[in-house]
Amino acid sequence: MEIMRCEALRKTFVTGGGEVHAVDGIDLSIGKCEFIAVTGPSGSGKSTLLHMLGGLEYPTSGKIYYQEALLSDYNDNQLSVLRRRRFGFVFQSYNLVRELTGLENILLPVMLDSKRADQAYIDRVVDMLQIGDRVEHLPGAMSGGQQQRISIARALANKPAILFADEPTGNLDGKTGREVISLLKYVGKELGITLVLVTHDLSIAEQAQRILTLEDGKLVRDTAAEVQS
Amino acid sequence: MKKRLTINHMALGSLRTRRKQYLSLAVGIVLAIFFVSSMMIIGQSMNYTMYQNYVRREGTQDAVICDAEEIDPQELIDLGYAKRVGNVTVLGEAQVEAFNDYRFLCVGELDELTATMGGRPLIKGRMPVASDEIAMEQWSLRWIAPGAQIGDEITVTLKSLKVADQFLTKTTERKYSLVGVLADKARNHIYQSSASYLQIPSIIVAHQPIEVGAKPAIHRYVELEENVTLATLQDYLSNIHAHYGGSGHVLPYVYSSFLEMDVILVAIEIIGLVLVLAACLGIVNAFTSLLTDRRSQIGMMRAVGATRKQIRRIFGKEAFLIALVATPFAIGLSVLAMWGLCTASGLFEFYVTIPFIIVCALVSLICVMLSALMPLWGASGISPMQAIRETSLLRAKEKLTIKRQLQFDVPSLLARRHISLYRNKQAGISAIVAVSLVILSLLFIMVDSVVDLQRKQEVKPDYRIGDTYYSSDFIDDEANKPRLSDSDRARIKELPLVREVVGERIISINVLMQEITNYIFSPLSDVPSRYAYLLEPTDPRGMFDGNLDYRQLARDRYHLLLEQQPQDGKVLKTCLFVCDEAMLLRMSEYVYDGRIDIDAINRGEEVVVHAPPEQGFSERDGYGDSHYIDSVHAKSGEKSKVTVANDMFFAGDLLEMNYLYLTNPRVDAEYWSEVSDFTADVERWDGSARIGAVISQEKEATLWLNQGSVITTFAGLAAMGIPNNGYNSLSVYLSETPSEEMGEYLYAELDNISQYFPEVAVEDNIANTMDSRTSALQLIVCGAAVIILFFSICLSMVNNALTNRMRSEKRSIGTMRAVGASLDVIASSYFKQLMIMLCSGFAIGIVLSVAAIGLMLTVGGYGSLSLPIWILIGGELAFVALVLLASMLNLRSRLKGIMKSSIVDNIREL
Repeated sequence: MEIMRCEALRKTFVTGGGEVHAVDGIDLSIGKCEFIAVTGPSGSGKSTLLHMLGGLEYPTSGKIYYQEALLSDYNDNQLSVLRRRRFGFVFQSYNLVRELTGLENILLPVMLDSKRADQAYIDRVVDMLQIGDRVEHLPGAMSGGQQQRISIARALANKPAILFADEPTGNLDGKTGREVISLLKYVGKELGITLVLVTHDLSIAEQAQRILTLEDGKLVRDTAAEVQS
Repeated sequence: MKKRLTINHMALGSLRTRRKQYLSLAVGIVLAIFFVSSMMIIGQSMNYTMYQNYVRREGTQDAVICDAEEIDPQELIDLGYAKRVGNVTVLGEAQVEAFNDYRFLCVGELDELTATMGGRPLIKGRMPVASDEIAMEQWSLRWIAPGAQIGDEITVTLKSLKVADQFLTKTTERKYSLVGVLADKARNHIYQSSASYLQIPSIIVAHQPIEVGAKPAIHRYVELEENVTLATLQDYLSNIHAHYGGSGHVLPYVYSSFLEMDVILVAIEIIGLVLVLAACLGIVNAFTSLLTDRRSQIGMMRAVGATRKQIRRIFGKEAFLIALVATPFAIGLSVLAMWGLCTASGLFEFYVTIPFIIVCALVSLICVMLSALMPLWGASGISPMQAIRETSLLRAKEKLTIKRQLQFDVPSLLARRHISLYRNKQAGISAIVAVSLVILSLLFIMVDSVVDLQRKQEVKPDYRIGDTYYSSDFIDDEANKPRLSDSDRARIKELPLVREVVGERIISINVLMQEITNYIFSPLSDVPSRYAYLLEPTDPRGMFDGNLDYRQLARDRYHLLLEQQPQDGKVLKTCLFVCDEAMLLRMSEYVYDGRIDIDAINRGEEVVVHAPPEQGFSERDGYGDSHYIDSVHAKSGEKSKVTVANDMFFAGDLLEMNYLYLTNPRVDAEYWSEVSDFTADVERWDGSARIGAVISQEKEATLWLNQGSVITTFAGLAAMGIPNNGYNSLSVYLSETPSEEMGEYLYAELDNISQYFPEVAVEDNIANTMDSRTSALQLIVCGAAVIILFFSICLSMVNNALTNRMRSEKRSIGTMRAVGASLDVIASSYFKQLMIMLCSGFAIGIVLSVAAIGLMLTVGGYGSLSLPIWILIGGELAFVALVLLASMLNLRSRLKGIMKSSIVDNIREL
């Protein structure tokens, strides 16, 4: 069952050296509860694609549908609501609010939505991610792995439909990176969340149900299409 | 070979690469210096202009000690009281036929020094140098020789001095050649009721022969030493007078743009100081913001081995280079701007001295460097770890107890957390708001003084024509003296620009009381001389044992009165003040007991009594008697001071009065003590009226009213049956300030009217009123400039703080957006931080303001406020609200600017 779709998606950056097509006409359909890995060499447009799908960046052209609703029809406020209710983000550099504790960072999307926190659920996520002893600290007092876990917990706090993760293991050592990926897989499966993960690490990509490979902004390989064919 | 990398190169390089940030810092510094130096230049120009105007009008002397031949000028200088002392010899009195021996004009000779310091501007001709030459003030010339021109021969009838030592043994006619016409001195009109020999001469002669054995009166013109006040001089003089038994009095000429308003000067000094501090605070804030933005860079420099001293030197050099460029530029700009302002407005002469500019530049440079020092010190303490992670935040967190909470409002939590984690950085904003509010309270005091002065000025007429005389005796010996009439009043009303003419009459009456208490009599060791007649020989104060025998004379005369004109009670010598209905109604503001029923007053059934609820008395060393003081405005240095509540005059009481008067003046009698009795040709009116209202003060009357004065209307006076033949004075209020020509025309017209009456003169208050209005305007303009300056400093500090915070928190903003925060949520978080900072500043500021006002009122001796305090509180609230509003608009537009970029741009590592 399709949850998100994009058609002829294109993103062009104008730089001193001319135009750069970071994403160049990608058509894609994402199914519910799918675990997709987006891979490709540096500068292939993986992160840009992810940012556009997550509503963090506007495409230069093309359309993105979330459950048949066109994202470009959303105004800034509606897009903000969509991000905090339906999407979760995990960034390579964690992007935690440095003045808030781990727990406050986790609860941020819930509180922004003026909802009551589901304490049992939050406790479960915190337990799952094994960060119970760090949630009272400020991000500056945590290791990279711990910050990334907090970042994952925050992305999951509002029970999103889709979780976008941009190189979540990029700043972590191999062991911690593997643990994070296992966690993402685990919580995705447990909570029924679609997972779109950008990585250039093939070993991680291979753990996904579906792998999309980008080169120069173009989708050069989609394992789902290969299976169908 | 490449040049060696020095700290200078590093600083210059840094300035070049961060040109935009440093430019905004430099602009801030330039503005701060510009504002402060502009204020100083304009203040200096304002003072200079006003002082020059004053000196042209009044002279450079600070005081004139009248009839002071016993004061040795050299001793005044040797003892450190005076810088220079000039002499005016009062030679006699010029007789004017029309005055019919009621009044004389003072004739005197100025020594060389007094001629230069005395402020005697010539309108025509020159000062006399030969014994047959004469110069006169315009108004004196009108009396002595109307229409005389320079070079004309004038005959002056010189009379011997009335009381002082003789100049001439008999009335003598002398012929002079008129060589100069002098501008009128308002003082000569104001003090016209004093004996002529106590006046400033309005007729100037030179090298007059003095008869053998004669000794003219001498006035000393004194320029006080820097640290000597008029009070100090008066204390010294009172000792001399006590020794010589003299009675010379001091005419104060101490220059002040607002006479008797030291509080304003103190306020201006405090404001000036705070202004400099605020400018420094602004610079500190700007530097802090700039260095905060460069924490990682500093951490990195420390990590690669830069010592704290090196960090301080690098960034100090940057500050010094900015200050070096900004200071002369700002001062040059302010000199130019203020010159333009003075030239264009014509309000005051542009006045600035080179040493002043040098001092300004040095002070500014030092202020900028000192202001930069604090943030530099902080920056040099940044740990190398700062380059790697936000260690300062963790240190701050250690001091903080964070409660675990599962439910929170995101903007509020962020605001609170920011405030607690960046407390030191935010404190500046609260501090500047608090300082601004304290400044507002000082400005409030200034405006209050200006309003009070303006009220007094509004009450004070532009011109006053008349006399102030009323008898100090139990009888009125001038009841039938020719006075200004209704037709004179109508004639004045017809003059151009005249808005209102107010008539006043003052009549000496006796009020009969069952008891005269200390409210009138004073509980101190002596009584006011006016009431010395009430002293019994058995009085515990033992007043009849000294050489001050006037009390015995007064007592004897009182007994003569009781014997010849029987009285049913104790006699209180007072006055009946008669005024227009409108003036009486204006006095309603001061009623504290009863009410003013104008119909009952017009029917002669009721009167109003002037009797403050509390009366202050004081005694000074060397003064013979205790005198009345305003209990609130008691001056320092008084020997003893006491207040007594009104226990004599109450609304509803019946006031028994009588009026003893002579229809023909006894011109042979010099003083009342010489009037032999109360029987021959004395007429008597007896009557009574109920006290309708008691008023606490009167600011309306131009004539002086004492405690227990009875007030009624002209209709009331007629209804009571007291004879009256006109007005003592007519006060003229103009609708606008006249031009110089119109002023001269009005003065001449009034002077024409006055010449029909012997003791009537014209008092011209236009110059004083204009001075006061100009000063008030200047003070208000300066006040407004100070408010604008502080408003700008507040805004700039908020802007600096928030802009830098937003710049450094761009990623956080991006993160917040990524997790679903809208512009409103993010703006709300900053708004709440702003609210917390401004509210805490407001709370501290209000407390400090009220304390400052309280201090001014109590310790500062300011007295009472004319304006209600809620105006201050409201003004302060409006100030903070405006800062909040302007900051909010600025904040929102900056946030929108940040949010125009995509979230990815926001969160991208810089």
